[in-house]
Amino acid sequence: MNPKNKLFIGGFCIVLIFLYLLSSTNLILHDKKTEILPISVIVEETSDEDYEKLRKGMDRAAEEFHVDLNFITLYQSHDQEQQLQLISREMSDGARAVILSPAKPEEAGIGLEEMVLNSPLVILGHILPASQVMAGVSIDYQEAGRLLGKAARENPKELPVYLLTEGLDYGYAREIYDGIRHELAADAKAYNTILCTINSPEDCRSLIENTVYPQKQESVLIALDKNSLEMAAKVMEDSTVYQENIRALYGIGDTTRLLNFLDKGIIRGLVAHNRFDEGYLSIEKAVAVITGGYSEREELIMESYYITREELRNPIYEKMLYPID
Amino acid sequence: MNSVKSSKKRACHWIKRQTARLGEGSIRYSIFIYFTITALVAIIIIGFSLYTRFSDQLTDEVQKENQILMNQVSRSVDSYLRGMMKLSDAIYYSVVKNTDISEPSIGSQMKLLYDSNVDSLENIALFSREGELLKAVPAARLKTDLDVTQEEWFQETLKKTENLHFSLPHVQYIFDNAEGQYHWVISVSRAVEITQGAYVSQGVLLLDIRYSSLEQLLNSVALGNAGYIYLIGDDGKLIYHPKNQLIDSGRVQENHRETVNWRDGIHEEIFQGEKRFVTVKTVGYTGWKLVGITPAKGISFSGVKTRLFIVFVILLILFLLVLINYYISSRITNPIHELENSVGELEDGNLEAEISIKGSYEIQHLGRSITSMAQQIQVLMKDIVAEHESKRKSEFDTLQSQINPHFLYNTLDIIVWMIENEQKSEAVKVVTALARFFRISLSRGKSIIRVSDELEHVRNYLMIQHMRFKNKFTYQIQADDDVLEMASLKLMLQPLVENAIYHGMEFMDGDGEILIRASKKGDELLFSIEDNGLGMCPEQVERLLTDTSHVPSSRGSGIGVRNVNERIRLYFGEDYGLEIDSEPDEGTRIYIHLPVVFYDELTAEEMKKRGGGKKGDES
Repeated sequence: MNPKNKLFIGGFCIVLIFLYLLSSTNLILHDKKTEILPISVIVEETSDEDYEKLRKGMDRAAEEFHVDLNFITLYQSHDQEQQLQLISREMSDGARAVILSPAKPEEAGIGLEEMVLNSPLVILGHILPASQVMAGVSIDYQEAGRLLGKAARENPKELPVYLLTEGLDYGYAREIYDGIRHELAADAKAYNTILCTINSPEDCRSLIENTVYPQKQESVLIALDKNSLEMAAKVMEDSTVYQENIRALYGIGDTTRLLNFLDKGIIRGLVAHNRFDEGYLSIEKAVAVITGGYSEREELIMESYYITREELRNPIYEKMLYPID
Repeated sequence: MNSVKSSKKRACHWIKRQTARLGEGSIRYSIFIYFTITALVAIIIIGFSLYTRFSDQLTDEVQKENQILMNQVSRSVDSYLRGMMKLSDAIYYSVVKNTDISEPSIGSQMKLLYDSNVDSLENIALFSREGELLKAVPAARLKTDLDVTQEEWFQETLKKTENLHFSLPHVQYIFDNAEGQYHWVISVSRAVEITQGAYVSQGVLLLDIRYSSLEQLLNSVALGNAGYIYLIGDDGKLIYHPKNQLIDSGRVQENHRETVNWRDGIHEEIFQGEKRFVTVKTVGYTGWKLVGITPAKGISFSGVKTRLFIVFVILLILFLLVLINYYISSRITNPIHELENSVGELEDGNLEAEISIKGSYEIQHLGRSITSMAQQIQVLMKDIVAEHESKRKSEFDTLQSQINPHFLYNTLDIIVWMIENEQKSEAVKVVTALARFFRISLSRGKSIIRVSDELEHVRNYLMIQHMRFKNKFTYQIQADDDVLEMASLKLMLQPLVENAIYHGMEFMDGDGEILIRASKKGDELLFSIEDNGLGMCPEQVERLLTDTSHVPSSRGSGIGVRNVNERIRLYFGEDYGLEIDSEPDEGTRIYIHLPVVFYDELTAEEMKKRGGGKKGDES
């Protein structure tokens, strides 16, 4: 056997050994192991009751992507500082990613920039400038505001439009507010909008009461957040006088309680979006960031819909508003 | 386009070149390559066939398994729905029918049936034809402002009163629920007769099946690694799908609108570029279709490691075949190669070379044939040489048997002259010498004679020439006694002496001298013929021994110096022959080298060779 042949056989043997190691052992090609990814979700409320639909989407994605989901609520609503502390705690406890629904997005942005984070963040809302924030899953809040404003324009311009909020700093109330104002100021004669901050049901009751006594003044209410909307709806539900005097109540939100109010006719119209998809997409993005298949910062904008009582049972919205488990 | 054409051309050219190269290569190379290519093609064909066969078989098996599983699930769903239908029957025929609606037992029995099926049932409700809620379990009230008669399921039920109606999954809106809760249900409704006192009126019995209970039946079923099942209504709308929500929001696509038109059985489809097997099974009464999806890649040997293992097995077999081919080709070609080397030696003239006879029968036979051929060549060559030698000897013998007629004529002329001049005694001497000369020349046809006879022969010749040339030269013959009985070639000295006389002395001034000596020197018999004639330059000496165009002188015996040399070599071998030492005007000395062989021994050996039968000839 000449040296060339020996070299050929030697090379062949090496290739065979390499192929054997590749195909029959775990030395080179490792069998894909199912890795459980711990991901924490921090919301801005003290209860997860209103996040049922979001959670369904998240649970579906968690099942699909093998995620160990940790859903965390606050001790006090809208406590941005606590949210930041929870982010640090969760990351140091081993969360591979954190999904945050910021209580006060501006404050959150500032706070996150000052923090050193060792895991990526996905925001349920607009993406924040901090480098560790890799994605945002959001709706166009100004557009949502415009939808509400457009709905409110069904009412006469003489009626004052009360804009109810827990605070423009909370969530994306300011953007919604801007959207409503933009829509209601579109005509030559603008609607009279009054911004009202309500921190409790009493505040809300007092506000509505003032439209009846001492002088009865038909009004239109638009809630910029779900809590304000729910408070207003509850106040109105208790009194037919209020229901008669308040020409229409609009708002943003899609909790089942709000849908029931819509079904009962207390709320005239709601702006909602697919919360199931929002939850699913946020987990999907977080997993993509963790597994490295997603390196560019991106904000996903979801569509929002204006829904009335008549459309409540429209099959188009049925699964969006009442997601199946 | 051009580049593709040129690539094709290059590829064709390469294939042709390699084929030509293969044809020109060694047998081992050709056998090795042909065997390996054949084996490789066979492996690929067999491998591909087996792969296809196993893959198809696996697909069939999986499909059968899936079909069995689908049948089981279908039976479960069917059984579940039939259970609900039986429950509806039980409520109607055992509780409601023929019982006055005001009877409290209706409510309690309905409650009993509800409690026993609480995991599957959300509500049981009985409505009048006008949509009034007559009974409800658990206790519930209709939503304010809600007109049940406008509900689709209500209208459908009253339209076809003989049927049980299954709705698609929907959120149950009609009842007031606790805040923050909603329920997905499948409504089973039927027209019933309601007894109110003496009157019997029509109503609707509603059973709301919990969607989650149906979901539980289906969501635990998986077809293979990535397979799943889903349930569609007879209009193609989804009833259950593991990704129902995502399909509804458009994030995931499913082919259910097409599938609804398919018959029961196994179908293949390409959906979103992916091949998949679709098993369709209709579920009993409802006409719903249970659809099983099995992606083809989940069945076949599609894993990277599996594919690498297949490549590994093919290469391993190929490797073993290469080694076996190498061994076989070596076994076949090594004997051929050795035979080729032997034939090469034969080509180089070594007919004694050992011929390799190894390997298979045909090659051994070839080796034997070549050996036989070489032996035959050897025999033929020996025969040719012998024949050639014989022919040469015959020629020389013919030459030496012919005495130049001029020599005889001149000698006789001298004799006549001597007789006329009364020199009788001189004439007698010459005649005697001539007679002896011819006697030795003839020697009964022998070529080898004694040294004494050869010397006697040349002496007679010299005597005749001495008289003829009137004592123009003198001669002397000296021989050691021990050489006289040795063997010598006949007519060996005479041509050389003749040359000395005619070419060395004829035109020379003064007396010539010729000295002939015979002695033993070492293991050689040495003759020397020395004259003091004109001598020769080296070119003349060279020409004398080699020039074949030389024409014998009419005065001489006709036997040239070259012939003498050749005859000596012919009879005694290449080691013997003439050696000429001559210089112009200095004379010439010719040495004759012969082996020391005694004449008697030589003749005895010849006698032996000829054998006993020829002994008579000698005598």
